[in-house]
Amino acid sequence: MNALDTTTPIGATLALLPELLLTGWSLVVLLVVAWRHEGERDSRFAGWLSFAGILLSLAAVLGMWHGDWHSEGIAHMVALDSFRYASATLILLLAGASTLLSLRYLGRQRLLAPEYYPLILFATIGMLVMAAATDLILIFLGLEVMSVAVYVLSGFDRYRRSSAEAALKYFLIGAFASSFLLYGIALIWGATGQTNLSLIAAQLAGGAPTMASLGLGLLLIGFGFKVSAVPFHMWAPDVYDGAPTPVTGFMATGVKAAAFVALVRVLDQGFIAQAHQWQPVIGVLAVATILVGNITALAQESLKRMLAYSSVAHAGYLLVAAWPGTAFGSGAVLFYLAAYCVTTLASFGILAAIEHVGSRTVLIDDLEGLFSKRPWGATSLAVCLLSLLGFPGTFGFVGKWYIISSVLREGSWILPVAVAVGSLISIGYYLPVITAMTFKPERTIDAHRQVAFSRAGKAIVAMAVLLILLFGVWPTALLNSAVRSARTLAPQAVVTEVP
Amino acid sequence: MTAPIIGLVWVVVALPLLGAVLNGLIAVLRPQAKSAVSVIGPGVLVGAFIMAAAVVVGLAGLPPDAPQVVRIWPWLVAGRLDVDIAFLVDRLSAVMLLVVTGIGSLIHIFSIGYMRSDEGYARYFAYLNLFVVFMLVLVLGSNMPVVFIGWEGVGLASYLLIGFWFSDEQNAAAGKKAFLVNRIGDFGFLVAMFLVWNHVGALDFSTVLGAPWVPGGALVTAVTLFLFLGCAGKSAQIPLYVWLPDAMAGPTPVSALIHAATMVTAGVYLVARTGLLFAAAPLSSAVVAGIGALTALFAATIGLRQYDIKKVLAYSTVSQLGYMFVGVGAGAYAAGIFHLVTHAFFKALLFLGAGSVIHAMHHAYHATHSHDDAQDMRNMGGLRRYLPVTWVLMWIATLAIAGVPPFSGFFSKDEILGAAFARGAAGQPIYYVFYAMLVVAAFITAYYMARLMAMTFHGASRATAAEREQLHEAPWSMTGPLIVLGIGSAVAGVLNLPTLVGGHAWLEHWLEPVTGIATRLSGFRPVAGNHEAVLVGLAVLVGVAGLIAGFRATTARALVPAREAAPDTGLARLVYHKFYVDELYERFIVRPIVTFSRVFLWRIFDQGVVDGVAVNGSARLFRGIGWLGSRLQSGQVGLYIVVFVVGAIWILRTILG
Repeated sequence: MNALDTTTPIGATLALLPELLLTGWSLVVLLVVAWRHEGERDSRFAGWLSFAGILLSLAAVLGMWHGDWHSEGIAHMVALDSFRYASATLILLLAGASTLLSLRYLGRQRLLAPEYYPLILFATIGMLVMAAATDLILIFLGLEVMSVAVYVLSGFDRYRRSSAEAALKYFLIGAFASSFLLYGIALIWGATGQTNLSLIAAQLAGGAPTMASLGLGLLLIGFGFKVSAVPFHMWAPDVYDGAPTPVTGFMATGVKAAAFVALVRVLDQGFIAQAHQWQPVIGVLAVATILVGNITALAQESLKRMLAYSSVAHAGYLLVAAWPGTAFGSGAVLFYLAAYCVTTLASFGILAAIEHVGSRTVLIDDLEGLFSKRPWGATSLAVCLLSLLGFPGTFGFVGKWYIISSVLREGSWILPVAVAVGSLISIGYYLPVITAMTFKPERTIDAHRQVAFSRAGKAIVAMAVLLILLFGVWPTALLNSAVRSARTLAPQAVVTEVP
Repeated sequence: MTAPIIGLVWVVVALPLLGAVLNGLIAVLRPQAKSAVSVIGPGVLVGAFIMAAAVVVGLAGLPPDAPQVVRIWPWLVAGRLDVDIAFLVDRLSAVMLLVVTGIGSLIHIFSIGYMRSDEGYARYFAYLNLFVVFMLVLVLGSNMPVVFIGWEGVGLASYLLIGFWFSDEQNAAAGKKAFLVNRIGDFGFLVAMFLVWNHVGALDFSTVLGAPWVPGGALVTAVTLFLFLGCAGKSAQIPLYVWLPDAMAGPTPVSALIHAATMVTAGVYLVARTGLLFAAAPLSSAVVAGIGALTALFAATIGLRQYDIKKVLAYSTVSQLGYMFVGVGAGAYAAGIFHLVTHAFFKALLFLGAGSVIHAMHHAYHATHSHDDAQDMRNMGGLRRYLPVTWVLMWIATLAIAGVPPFSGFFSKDEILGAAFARGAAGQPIYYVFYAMLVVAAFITAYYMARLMAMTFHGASRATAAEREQLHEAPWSMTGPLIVLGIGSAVAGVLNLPTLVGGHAWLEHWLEPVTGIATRLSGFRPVAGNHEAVLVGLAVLVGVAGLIAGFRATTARALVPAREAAPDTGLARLVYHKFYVDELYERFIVRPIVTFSRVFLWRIFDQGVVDGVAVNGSARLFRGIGWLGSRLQSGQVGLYIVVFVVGAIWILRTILG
């Protein structure tokens, strides 16, 4: 049927179809912006052009998913399974939404520069590769492609010191973390002679030598940095705060999604036999991340910084879902990623619309009386925050519910308690925002004059809110799809031993 | 054989939901677009009625013992708990479906004329549509949680509509009272649900009813008693009836739809739905019947001395609900449902007729700038000359409720009386007492209804000449539904014509597959034919006597308008003040609780312990830790790297074990 032999050139090319399409398209966009970069109109044209490329790539992914393309034998380099397709769909949707949210923002905040949209596309390609890779080398390549683009994007606001500082910090610590990852890959190769996840699993089925364990530990550190797990999270608030808001949204969702799906694939496909070794690490990281993220978020006065810490806390919940290593747990990772990403991206989209031109720190107190002036915007933000909080009837609640039930199945009770306690603490910083918006009067007569939603921004936010409410009451189909996708992660049977 | 139309039962619920959303949007965005509201609001109900009729026709074509469960979507799945949003279409819910959408349609149409001049017209219809949505969910739910959604939802809609004119504090308080009293009942429902879950491990009706309950066992008795507590709250039975008379603060069509025809009968429906449980718990059944009989008598007595036309009808509703509970308590589930149906017709008619009267009086007062009470019967009198259509229709309803043949109420009330008597004859003498109470209540019912008619429509008019000139019949959109209800009140008895007069007891046969087993299990045996004839004769005699006595007693006295009337004295005063039950509750329940909660729970426990120590204390603690964490977040890359490396060393140490 649609079986591809990924060892042949034609098979490998077809297997990378969405990535290749997007790469080609991004080169076209690069050429276009090299010639046309005069004003806001040109920038918006580039934005729409990039959006079209993302849609094209998305069509390829959906076509492969629908056509049930799979690999003959084990997947060399590139996976052809629904876990990849589901992750790629999510990543492309996030990239598309981020592109649309940027359209007006760049002009408004005078951030017009031709390279913005190509960089978004490059980062997206990196994320797609991470989601697809079944080989540690390819994962690393995807990660670096994504990271370099995101380093530049986070320092995009060249006129602000904080943005430049953020980019530099991100780059320094990122490079430091990448070296851990690369050294981990090297040790694993040294111990097993393999970089393909399924082949590694075959080698390590009977137990891991010290060298391989050390490599796994180093991998976990590298991924811990990318998903902003405590104690590797300290860059995240500074970088999220300094980057232009649509970029922050893209980083907090897309980068995290890509890192998590790659992590889950590495753990479930390559090191499932070592679960007893990595589970304690993941568990402790999860608890620490939940507690530190939530508690530090309490002390924030800036909305953006608060959301940054909250995104750290959510990485903790996702780690909890990654802990069981079962199809149900990894399905919960996918499901919660969808819930978290939709909600977080919409929150940052709303924040981008609220920001003043120039001075961009929005304090929570600045939102007072937003409801009476912009009822729809305030309501949408409230729905998003309630979903992040895990309020019943929202997407986020169902996500947390499934995380807890997937972990309970494996008999852990500390992790569910941590999730519950974390959610409880998070009430302390989500609800004050809603209170400020609804129950307090605006401070000045012309407060909230600056709030400007673009038409695309409105559409994105409205769609996100509808999804949050829809999946809050009707989650079954999505969850079943997530669990089915996660089932494809099991290590593939190795037929021929590669020497 | 399957009837695909039944799978479309969700449309019946979706249509009013659509109406609620559209009207809600209009209420927010363009409140002056009343024409659109007039089309959408009643339109969706009529559509729902047609759809419901189609579903019932589809159901009638199926074998009788084949309930149809329509799964909409899986809802809660956690461990053993597996709850679907699913609708149960069987012959019992079919009856309720038709009553809710049918009577609902008529009342929606009536509302066009009644509420047209109100500012909150769109909001009114949004709430009313929403009520119908939840009511349909309640009667269609195939498991207890879904029923509970409807149960809470109708409570919410009722709260919103009682306090519809919320700017008047009294109305808002009435809404709050209804809400709080119903919470007590809901507590019972929840506890029953937990007990069922604990014992059966499932919550859908087919599994729950089919579970091996020990007849007369403590568990089934507890479950049914808690269920009945819920029913007593929703259906306004002693001791939780106090909210319903206050609920008359809402617009009159609301009183007709929610507080007479549909929502308050939900308790009766629930007992019939779970009839197999009640049949296995004779003690609970006796409690149900006993509370019902007591309520029927007690509330009827209060109705004797009320002057507010809606208050009389409110107590009458409480009393009639008591009748229904005696029916289902005695095991004659079909009889209870039958009375539910006929009562829906004649009580909706009485309320809408009262609405028509109030509308006319209000209009007259408005035109003459008078501030008299448009609902006080002492200000009325002689209205039959001005409202002839309403007058005739109200008499039909009065004859129906008084149990005069051949009007509908005669047949249904008679069946309940017969059922109580039959249980007495079947070796449970306590039911003879209930029977006697109901007979007395029937006399009082006829008496207060005749009094109402006499004070309102007969005798000399007590309105001023200027006001009389302004009195006129309501528009067709209001009298039309009244006429339809009038026809229903007159002839709905044919639904279940007893075999004694050559009928086929059609409704009883229709419900047989649902309630028949429970009825047989409960030990209910119908009385023999010649006995029945005697009982029927007695009931008719009592009703007619009550009517004549009430009418003559009222017309014999010269009535004066409310502002000139002397306050009642003695026993009359006690009854007028509803036996001071509200005041007793206030003194012995509400005030101690309020004092306790204010002094202890609020000042000491909440403000001191919870707020002071737990909430603010822990918030301060966490904020402090958070602040410390933020200090650590100094922006120094070097520090970040140090923390990073510490973490890395810990991970490597752990993984090497």
